[in-house]
Amino acid sequence: MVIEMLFRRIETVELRDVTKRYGDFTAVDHVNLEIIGGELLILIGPSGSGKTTLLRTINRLVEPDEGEVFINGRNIKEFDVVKLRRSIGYVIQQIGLFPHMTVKDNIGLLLKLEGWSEEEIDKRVKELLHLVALPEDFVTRYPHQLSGGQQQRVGLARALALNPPLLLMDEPFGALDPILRKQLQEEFLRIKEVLGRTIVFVTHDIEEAFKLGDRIAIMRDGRLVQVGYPDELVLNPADEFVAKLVNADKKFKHLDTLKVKDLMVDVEKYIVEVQRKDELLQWMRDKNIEFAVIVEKGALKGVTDLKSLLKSQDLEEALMEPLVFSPGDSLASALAEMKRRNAFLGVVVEREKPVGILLANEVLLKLL
Amino acid sequence: MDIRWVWESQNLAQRTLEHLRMFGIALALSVVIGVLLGLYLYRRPKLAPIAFNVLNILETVPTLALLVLLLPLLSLGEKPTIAASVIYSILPIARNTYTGLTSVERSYIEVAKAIGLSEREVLLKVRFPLALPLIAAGVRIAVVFTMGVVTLGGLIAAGGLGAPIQTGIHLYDRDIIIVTGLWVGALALILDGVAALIERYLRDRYGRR
Repeated sequence: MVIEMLFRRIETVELRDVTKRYGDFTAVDHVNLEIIGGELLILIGPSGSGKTTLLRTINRLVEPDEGEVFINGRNIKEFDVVKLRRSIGYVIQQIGLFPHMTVKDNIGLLLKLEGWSEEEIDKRVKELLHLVALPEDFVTRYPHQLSGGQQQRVGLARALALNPPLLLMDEPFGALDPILRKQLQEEFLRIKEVLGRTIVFVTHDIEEAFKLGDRIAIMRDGRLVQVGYPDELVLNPADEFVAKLVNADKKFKHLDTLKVKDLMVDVEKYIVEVQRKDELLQWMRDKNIEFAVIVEKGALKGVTDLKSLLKSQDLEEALMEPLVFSPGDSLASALAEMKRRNAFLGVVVEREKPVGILLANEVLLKLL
Repeated sequence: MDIRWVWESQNLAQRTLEHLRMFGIALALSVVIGVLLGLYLYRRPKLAPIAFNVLNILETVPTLALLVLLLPLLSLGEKPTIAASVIYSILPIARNTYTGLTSVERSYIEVAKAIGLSEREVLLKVRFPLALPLIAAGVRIAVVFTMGVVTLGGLIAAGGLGAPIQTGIHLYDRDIIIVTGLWVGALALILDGVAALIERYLRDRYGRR
């Protein structure tokens, strides 16, 4: 069954000059923020900093007093509010599963309202349970029969039911105990990769922000203090507040929150597509490099260096299979893997294409 | 005491059916009107204090007086009895419906809106089901009220089990009064028990935990 979404995919979500006041209190103060399609943007700040209020302007749970919100360039006021909200998944800390509905009815509620047939709903609910790693026979259970973590998974499944291109999450793991929280974060990262959709995620936990976020927007007293990628925030904090929040002076603490892509180096100048050994030798001499990443139709084939190339008969023999990481892998575990395999480098690959190189000594230098 | 004699001479089987019929009609009307009124007041909360004040005043009128007051309008028999039952029973049902609807936890309503339910869908899919246990509690109070009023209906020729009690009083027949009285009491207990079971089921099914 095809669901009519207001937008199939998100190019941008743009908050322009958004301000919200409650009496004398200014919850959100002239915030300008652009969320890029496909990214996970973290909104972080102390309680009362306006992050939740700002999040809620996106699905019009909060109507700003000033300023506007645009999705794919269109003012969201133009849309029917019910349709807008059905196109935006929403997950909150209190979970808010309806206590009088079974897991199936909770997940399938919107599908039912959209007029799906029983079989279609059954099928979709099972798909979603599978995605959030819950057994199928949970369909008949009631929320109170589930643990907190299981409820949160059902909440996520419900938010994903209509396959919305945009997901708003308000401290979804906030109420869970630390171990469960870590576990769900890991799982969420996996789901996020599968779904590949735009997510705005509110948290007050900087570790969580570094772990899950592509970019991080820092709020304080209703104002946006800084937006940037994790390394930018660590290396160039806008002010004392940001520096303190990201703990810039203790960035080693974040080794486990940094990702491979944060510290990989550009691979562009090492990439070459060649068939023969002498061709490659010539190319490496011309470029004055000792190391090359060989590709075939853009996809990674192998790596080699000058020494092994000179020793070998042909190109095939000189090719080595490198350690491969993806940009979202944790830096700490990548480094551990390299150490175990005694490798000084790893190739970072996205959709089979090499996008960067991780050099063990380079990484350590940057971290110092 | 000759229970069998009372049962047969006073035609208690027939009387019981009459009684339950009036009870059923009165309760059904009360539930429909009470729930609808509760819903209406939920939509128009400004009217709620006024409406509940009026119903409260009606509630304080003694049953007998109310029956007599209704006579000129509805004459003798079933009609004024049912009307009086309904007038008494609307308050608990409407009040519990109203309270049930307005006291649903805000977070559920907020989530329902946030995921894209319309006002109407929020009311039908979330608010109303979550208010059901409280509505059922109101109906249970109404069951007891209705039972009492329908029995008093015997005074104004409504039939039912109030009639043999009247006969018993007129004839100074202790047996008739006691047998019928105990039987009405037992019926009331049974109906209240059934209502309690339904209420418990609804609380388990739709209750907030």
